[in-house]
Amino acid sequence: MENLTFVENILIFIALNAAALLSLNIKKVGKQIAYGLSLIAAVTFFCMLYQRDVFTLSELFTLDGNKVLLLKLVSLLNVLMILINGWTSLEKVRSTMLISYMFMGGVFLLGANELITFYVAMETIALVGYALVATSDLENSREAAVKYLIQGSVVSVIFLLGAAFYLGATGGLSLVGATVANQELYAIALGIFILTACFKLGAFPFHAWIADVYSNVTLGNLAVNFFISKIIIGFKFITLLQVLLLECDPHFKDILIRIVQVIAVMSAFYGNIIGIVQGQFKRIIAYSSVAHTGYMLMMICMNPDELLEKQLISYLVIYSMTATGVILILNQFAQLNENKDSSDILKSGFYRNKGLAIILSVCVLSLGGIPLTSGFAMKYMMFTNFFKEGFNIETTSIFISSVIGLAYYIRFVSDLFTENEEKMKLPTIKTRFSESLVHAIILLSIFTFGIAPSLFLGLK
Amino acid sequence: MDQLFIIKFLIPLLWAIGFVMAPKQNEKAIKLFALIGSFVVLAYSIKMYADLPDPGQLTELFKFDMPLFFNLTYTFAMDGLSGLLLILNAFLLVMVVIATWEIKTDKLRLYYFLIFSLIWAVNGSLLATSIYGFYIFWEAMLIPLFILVGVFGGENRRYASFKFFLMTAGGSILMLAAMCYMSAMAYKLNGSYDLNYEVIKSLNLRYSGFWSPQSLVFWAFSIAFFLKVPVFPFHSWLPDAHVEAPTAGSILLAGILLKLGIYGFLRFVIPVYPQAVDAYRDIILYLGAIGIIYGALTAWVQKDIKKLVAFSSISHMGFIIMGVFSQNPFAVKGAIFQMVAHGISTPGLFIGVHYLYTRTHTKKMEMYGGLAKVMPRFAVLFFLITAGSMAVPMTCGFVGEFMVIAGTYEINKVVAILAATGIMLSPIYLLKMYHLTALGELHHEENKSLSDISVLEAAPMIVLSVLTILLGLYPKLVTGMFEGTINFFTHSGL
Amino acid sequence: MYENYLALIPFFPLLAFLLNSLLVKNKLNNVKAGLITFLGLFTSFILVILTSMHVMENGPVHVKLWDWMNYKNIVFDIHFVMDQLSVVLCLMVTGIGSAIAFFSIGYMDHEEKVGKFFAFFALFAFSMLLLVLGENFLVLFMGWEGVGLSSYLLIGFWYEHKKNGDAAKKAFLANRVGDFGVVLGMIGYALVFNTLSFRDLQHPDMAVIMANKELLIGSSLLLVLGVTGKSAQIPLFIWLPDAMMGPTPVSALMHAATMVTAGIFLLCRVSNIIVHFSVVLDVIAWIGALTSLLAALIAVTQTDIKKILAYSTVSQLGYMVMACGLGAFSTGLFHVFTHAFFKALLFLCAASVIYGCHHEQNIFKMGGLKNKMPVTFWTFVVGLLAIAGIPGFSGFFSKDEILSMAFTNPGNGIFLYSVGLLSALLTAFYMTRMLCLVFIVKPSHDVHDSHHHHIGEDNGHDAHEIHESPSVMTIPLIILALCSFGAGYVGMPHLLGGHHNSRLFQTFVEKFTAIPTGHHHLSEETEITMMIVTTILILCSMGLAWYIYVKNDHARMRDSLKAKFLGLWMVSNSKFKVDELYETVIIKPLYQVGHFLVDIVETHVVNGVVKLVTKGVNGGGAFLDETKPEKLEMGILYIIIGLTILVTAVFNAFIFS
Repeated sequence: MENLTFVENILIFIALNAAALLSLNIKKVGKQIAYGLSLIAAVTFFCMLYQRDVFTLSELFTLDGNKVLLLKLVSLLNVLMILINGWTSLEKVRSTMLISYMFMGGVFLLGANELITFYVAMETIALVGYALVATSDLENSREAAVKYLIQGSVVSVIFLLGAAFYLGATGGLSLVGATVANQELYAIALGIFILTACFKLGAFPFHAWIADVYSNVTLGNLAVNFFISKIIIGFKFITLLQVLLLECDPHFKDILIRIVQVIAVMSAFYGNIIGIVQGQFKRIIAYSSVAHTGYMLMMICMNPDELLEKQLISYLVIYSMTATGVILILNQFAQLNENKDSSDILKSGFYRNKGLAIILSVCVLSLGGIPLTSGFAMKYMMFTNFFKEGFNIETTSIFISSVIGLAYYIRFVSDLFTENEEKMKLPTIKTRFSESLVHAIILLSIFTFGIAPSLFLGLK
Repeated sequence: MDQLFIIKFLIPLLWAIGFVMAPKQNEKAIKLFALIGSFVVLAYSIKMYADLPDPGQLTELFKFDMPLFFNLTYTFAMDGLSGLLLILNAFLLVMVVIATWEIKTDKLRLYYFLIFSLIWAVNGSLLATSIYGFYIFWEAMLIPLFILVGVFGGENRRYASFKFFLMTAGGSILMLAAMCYMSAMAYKLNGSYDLNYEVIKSLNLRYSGFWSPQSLVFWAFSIAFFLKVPVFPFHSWLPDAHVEAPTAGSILLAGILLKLGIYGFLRFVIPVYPQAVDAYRDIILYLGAIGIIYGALTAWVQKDIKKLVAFSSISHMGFIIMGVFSQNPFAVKGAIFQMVAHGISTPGLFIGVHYLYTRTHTKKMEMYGGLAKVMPRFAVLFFLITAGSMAVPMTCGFVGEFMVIAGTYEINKVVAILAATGIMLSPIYLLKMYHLTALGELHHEENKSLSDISVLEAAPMIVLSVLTILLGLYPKLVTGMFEGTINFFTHSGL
Repeated sequence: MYENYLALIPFFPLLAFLLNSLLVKNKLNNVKAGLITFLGLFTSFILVILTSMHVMENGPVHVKLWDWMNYKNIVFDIHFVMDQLSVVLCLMVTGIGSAIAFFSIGYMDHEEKVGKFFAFFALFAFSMLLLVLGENFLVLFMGWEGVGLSSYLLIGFWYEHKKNGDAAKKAFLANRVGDFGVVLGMIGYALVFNTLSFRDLQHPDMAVIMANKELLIGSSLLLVLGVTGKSAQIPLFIWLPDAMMGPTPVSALMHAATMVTAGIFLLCRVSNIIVHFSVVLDVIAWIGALTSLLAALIAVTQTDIKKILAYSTVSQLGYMVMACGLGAFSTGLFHVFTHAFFKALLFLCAASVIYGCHHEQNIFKMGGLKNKMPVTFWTFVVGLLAIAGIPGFSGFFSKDEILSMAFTNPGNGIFLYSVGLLSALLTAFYMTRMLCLVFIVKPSHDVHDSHHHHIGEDNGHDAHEIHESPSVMTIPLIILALCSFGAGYVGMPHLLGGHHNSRLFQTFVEKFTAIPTGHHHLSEETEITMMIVTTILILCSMGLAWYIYVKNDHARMRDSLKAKFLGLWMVSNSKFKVDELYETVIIKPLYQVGHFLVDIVETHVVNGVVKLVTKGVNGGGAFLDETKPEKLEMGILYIIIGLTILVTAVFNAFIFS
């Protein structure tokens, strides 16, 4: 019986969002109604998560332990994003709708036990992603969306090929408890899954879409794209691959782990080195996310365990929130420059708007891994794990690449604090209450996690 | 377990935040607030030192552990050495606030905020004894100084601040790698990631040649501290940082930040990696000796007075690194004393240069000349401080250098003789500086109308010169404070 | 009771220094400032006399002020001692010091900011007393550098003129080179004997000395380097002639009587150790001999009155160092004692002459002052006879004993004796030359009516009329003349003084320093013949000088002489080109090295590496940027490549497994 309540909730969630979409057409007051409905849907789903610990739907779908914790966090952030979008402009409310469906795709992806639901959920997220990129009104965002669509479809086709190999190897599509009959096919299947993970998360060889998407997307869509897709896909792929790699034949396992490590180190170096020469700040953040994906991918080579998952969750959530904070503030600075991101929008920002400038520099320093911020705690945690596993050379090389990364993070801070005459005359930036609320939450999370990480890890 | 510790520890930070709320127009109130703050910080540092039951041992002040996050702990402890540097740090804060009293800038609150947060970060790294806590404050120190140099500095301050930040932060990231490696080893050994002395010692990383874990970890820590000290080949950021930094930045940078590199060596490298220290002692001794001669010769050729003082501090730091690594108790005591002596004479020089700059608006030495006729009080005080920096026997400079040379003489004669040439070279460039500024004819017209330094401006220089003479005649005042800790820093106990 | 006397001796000059330096601002007039310093010195002179009487009877007096530092069992403390050696020098420092202070009240009356001069004067006396009274190397070294510092301040007193400042800087740097040697030597001794105090160094045990012989020889040679720095010997004597830029009383006090003798004092302090190393003794002897000869040769052709006296001081110091080198430390100290009196006298006479001729220092422009300045003339004659070594005067006794010691020294004795004799003759020659030109011979052109520019301030003195200096200056002259006559009788040789009152000075000093050994015996007759021969030779050289400069027109005579020995004259006049030699050999290359370090090493190597790294990283970034990874086809290309690499990796492992 308990399964029913979960199904009912999902149906309610979808129904409310559908109603919101319809109400968009109502003349004057349509936006507010649609906004209210989607907000209520998100909040009810968030409360529902606290009813029970485990949600199962036959053997297709189970949510337990850490996954529930992750879902709670993501839905909380989802509510925050809806708040930040506000009900003023039609375009923003429409993107809130799309966010809800992406969130739904994320829920199913998280719980997927077999490849069909996995593929369907992944595709819903991807499709909504394409739509979000396409609907943002920057001049070449259409072009970026098309590129993202084509590359995404190529990868999803390849994912299906991998699923076929997986079917051949294990005689079934279920990801849990499959017995491997043919090791070679199984290895190829895993390889392809790794490849899709690298594309989805934007690791080095497959990062082509990231730079364009980041620099050509307005605030709401991008932040969401970050949250839902990055966190859930990242968590799901890494934990799944850790589990699947256990059954793999040791010889193949070494090769696959060697490939993962090479990709991780290369994307760390690539992201940091190219990031320095970028003119626009959003592109810097794009390439820094390539580097951070590189740091994260190394986790695949670990054996799964409870605390490691919790650390991965905290890394993903903290990183996404910090990066989103940076992007949000960059957009606000860009507004004064007709929404175009150029290399001097931040000049003497501190003297125009102290609050924003301080938050931006703290977020950037957290990305750079400077102590007293959560970025440092994450970096310390992850690299200690890698050293524990014995990947000494790879980890030291990643460390060295993070030194290069410092160069462009510091550029943010330096620009903010340099005085520049004509920039001084620009008007100060007005921030709405909801935006400053989100900024405050991000700042709080950065410092608390930075100073006392155990509080965060103690969450249940 | 001193409950009040947290409050005492956070005083500088709260004072810094206090500046954010201070009224914007009323400059007098802000400056007064800063002055009171600096005296409060000085008072509590002295009180904390006085409360120490035994300055010889590390007395634990506060422990905050995080069971879930690798059960790492923030342990704060204090002994003679860290107490001494704490007091030097607070003393320099008072000197900075008084010396730059007439600073004319519209961003006064930001100026004092950055200085007080820098002092707090330095206090933090001096008190933290778990490596995790030390590293956090070690990196956090860089941000306020980066912004201070970036905002209040000279012409190409941006280049100087970038170079300073990247070189020191880059070095300390190497240290972070070593730290993570060690906490991973600690986990394998006893299941907990925490890193304090007992754990690191119990790790006893194997040492066999360069590629063995102990020597790699040793070099990671050493390069980070070399960049900070700075030792000869790693010093390229210091002259730029000093030339571009505002006076407050230069005073704090030369007075206390360089000493943290040495403090790092004494606390986290020398007692813990005995074999590596013995193996690489000679290399580092030679680096120190070369640093002394290199710093002296390059200082001699400089045209810019601030660069000259910057290179002179490279020469002095060469002495200190030599004393610390010679592992001879007398030399180590001399090195620690030289840290304090350098922390008195170089800030004095920078304060003098500040007064010259605020009057003549140039740092080129040939623009000065014959100022003793126009500014007699300044000339006398500047001479006393230069004498201290020149290591004339009755001043503090001589004590440290003499002990370092005497101690190293037993270990490695060649290095000691090279270091002793430092005694010959240091007066060459310092007297050249003094003669170009204070003595000689007064042929620049605009210099004729310069006003002598006021009583308030003279106060820090008077205090520094009195200290120079006092410590020169009675060095036990300082050596008594850290006497007990010496055998902790010379593991072989020569 | 004598302990706190001893502690108070250096205290009074320090008090005078503090008073003068603090009161300099409110225009303390010159006499008051002078009086403060004079009283400070005079009271410590009286204290010195009292304590030295006590020391004569029952041995050295010790007082320990406070503990400076300790290491293992070496004790570094501020500890004063008044033993036989320091009695002599304390008497000289405070005695002659107060006389010169009294003299300079008159000499400096028309200068402004004289408070500063007397402050530095008192500081010098304080550091000299520290040096002399120091019980261990540490206090000695504090005095040693303090003296260097105060000589820097006094030489550069008129700092407005660049050359005064440069001379002061040169003096300080030359002393600093010497200090390098003293520091290393001091540390060497401390490590070998585990002590710094001279009481223990007075009786070193032979086993320790034999055990680490070469370290001790090294350290002693380094100490000798320090001695050459401070007492202006061969390698580092260049600073003394230039130190004449300072006021003349300063030259009288420091560069004649007290400061420059510090080197010999140090040798006597460590005499009991270096006496065991013949190598070190020979080095010292030869340095002394060569310096005295070189300086005498240069002094012959100098024209500036103070330069002549400076070079004569260098050559007399050469004598004293030679004496120490022969092992006869007490004789050397006896020469220090006598030399202090007559050299201070000669300098003060020169000062009063300069003061009379409105700061004219070229001896050819002076002349015929015999009857205009009688007191100065007669006191100058006494000084001349003393320095030339005419029997009866103090110079004769000390110089003769050094020559006899040299004669009887085994091994290189005869060469040292001949060099010493030659420089004695040259001394007699150039001193008489100076006497004739300044006092006796009428000046070639009448200097009095031609107005010429003064170096110092114009002192409102009537340019025409030259008269004797005021009594405040002549009284010290007379006192010093008496002393320089009578000082010799304290150390008469056995021959003249009979058994019980001969060599009183030397035996008293030998209670501390090492006793000369290994000199073969000199019979009575040979000693008398030697004395007579040297006196006759000295009288001949004085006659020669009289003949050249007085008998006939010295200008024509000088030109003909110059023509004959042109080469020798040029070399001697240009001070053997020593300054230029140092400039090209040491200072210029060191400056080039500095430039090389800054221009090449700093910019290209140290900064170069940093620039290389940043350029490399930016270059890499730009290169990667060109490949335009965001283009669509690049994206798909990468995906396909990734897939193929993956499949080949798995397959060939599979095929070859």
